[in-house]
Amino acid sequence: MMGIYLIRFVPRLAHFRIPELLSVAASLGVDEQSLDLRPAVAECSTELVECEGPEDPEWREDTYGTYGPSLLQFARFESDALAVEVARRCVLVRHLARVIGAGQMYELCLADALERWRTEPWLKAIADDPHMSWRCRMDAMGCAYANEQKVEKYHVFGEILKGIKGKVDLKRPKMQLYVFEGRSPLKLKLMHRDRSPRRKLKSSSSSLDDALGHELQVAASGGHDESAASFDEIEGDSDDDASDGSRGAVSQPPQPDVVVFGVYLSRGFHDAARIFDVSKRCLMSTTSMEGSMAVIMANMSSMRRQNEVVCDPFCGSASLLLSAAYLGAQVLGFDIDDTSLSGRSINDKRNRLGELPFPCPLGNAVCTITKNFEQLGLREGPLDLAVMDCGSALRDGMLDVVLTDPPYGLREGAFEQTDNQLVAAKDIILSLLEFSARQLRPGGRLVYFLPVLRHEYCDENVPSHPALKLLFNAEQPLSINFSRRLMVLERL
Amino acid sequence: MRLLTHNFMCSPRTKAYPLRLVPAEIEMIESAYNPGFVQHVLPRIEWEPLRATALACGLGELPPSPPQDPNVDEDVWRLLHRILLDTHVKEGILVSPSGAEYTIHNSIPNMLPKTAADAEPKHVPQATDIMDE
Repeated sequence: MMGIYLIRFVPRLAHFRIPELLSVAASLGVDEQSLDLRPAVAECSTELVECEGPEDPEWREDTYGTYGPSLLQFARFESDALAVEVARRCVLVRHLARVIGAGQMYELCLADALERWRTEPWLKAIADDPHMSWRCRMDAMGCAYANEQKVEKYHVFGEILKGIKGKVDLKRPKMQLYVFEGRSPLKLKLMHRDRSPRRKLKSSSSSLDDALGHELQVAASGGHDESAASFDEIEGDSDDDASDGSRGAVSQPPQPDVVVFGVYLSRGFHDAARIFDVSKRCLMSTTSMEGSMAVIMANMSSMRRQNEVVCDPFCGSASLLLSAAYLGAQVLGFDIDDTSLSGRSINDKRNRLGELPFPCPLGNAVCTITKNFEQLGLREGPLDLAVMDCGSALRDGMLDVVLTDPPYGLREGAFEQTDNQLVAAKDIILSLLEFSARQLRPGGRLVYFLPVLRHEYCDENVPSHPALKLLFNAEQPLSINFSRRLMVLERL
Repeated sequence: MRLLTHNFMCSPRTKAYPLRLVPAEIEMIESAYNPGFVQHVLPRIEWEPLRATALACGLGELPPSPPQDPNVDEDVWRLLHRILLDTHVKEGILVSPSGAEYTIHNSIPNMLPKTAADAEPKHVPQATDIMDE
């Protein structure tokens, strides 16, 4: 019997969240149909739909509203273990919980929960276990409640909570019962309007004079550009019990649009940013892919956790390959520039990568790609590195995944600059598509970033190849004018 | 450069295959035996060029045809793992059937066609560039 689970995503990178989840699920053998993703909150409509819970067909809504897919999604998995495995790998998943009840108001949620509480065996097992210590927690989108307010809300479910034989343990409970309050994008926008923006830009390096370069650096540091018309800034970032007035608590928050009561199961890949922090690395360059994005891209490739041959034909400092290798791939890195591949010496001032902004944590004179791998415990390093032009020296059919961030031709241009800089970028993309079509096994994926001028972009102009099927196209806005789109293609 | 990668590589312009390996310095670095990966890539390997290269590097003789089952002939599989993954060519030359040569330096092969590279050498700024006279 398939259980119903609630997935709560991280507020950023809205258009990446469903593709990442679907790709990770696919790598574990869960197809999109059986996953049955449904948004928990209506996207753009301001009318409330009268219905009782996720089982009701009225829940089916258009998944991609103006503000990207809903932060809260319902999904079906065959087992807790499978659901946890999927959630744990996704960088953009914040929480996973198994649903006991859901509804558009607290009363409806309670009614749904009571019905399951009385009938479903897994819930009976939880209730009857005297050793199952528990506590309640709140995750309310867009606001933070004081403790008294939270306890008041937990008491709504008093009938259920009274029936649990286990004791309450606030410090180390075996089980956590979560109350999720979801609000529609429109409501959150209205709530946020009166508050001052909480997110601050990290200061950018003064040596970057290129406007796009600035945007890329902001994206690289994981922050947000204020001029970006990104909904991510608006959605609240409330979490657990860390409630204090400075987090922007609204004294009379509007009613939630959905309330879900469930058993908390797991976080997402919360540690990705810390593990892959570029500033802690031995070797880094101006083009190194930001750590958590590198993991998201590896997840998008749907790669299995061992033995896949993953190639980056424009690897640079091999930041992408590092994350793929950490997740179990055997990686091949190619680049047209031999100085990127052979690393850099701190004392070598003629090296084009320049001085390191952070001292090398290993204290070595020479920083190499292989040392980056060793830092993460990958003793065997990449499968190989080679200097070549767009992977031309590889015979056909050798790869499972092509994972790359091709040169945009803007900052680190390896090609001649023409008047129209994006022409050079397009030629590289076409070579990349050709390379991937020749090299990928059937079912293998190509994942790459396409730089885009937002006002010129249209779906029809996206570079394509007859042997490659476009699966996902997720936009990461960098500024008003520029964005980059993560393209995920599958070899037919 | 590992011998697995060598088996995958061809001439960048003509796609001619195989490239003859002339090793100058080889280092054996032992890694954990991974029959799963060897089995995964075996269908992509050209057997005769691998056999010839293994002999040229003094690594022992592989049987005339590839093994089928990792549970049978574990010796062959272990030898295969050693040849493909533990053999690192640090310095050497790859020669294409037409005679073009590509160098391997510090384990990294340079597959850029030599004629293009020779025509436009990278300009490395020297102290003499900025000094007058």
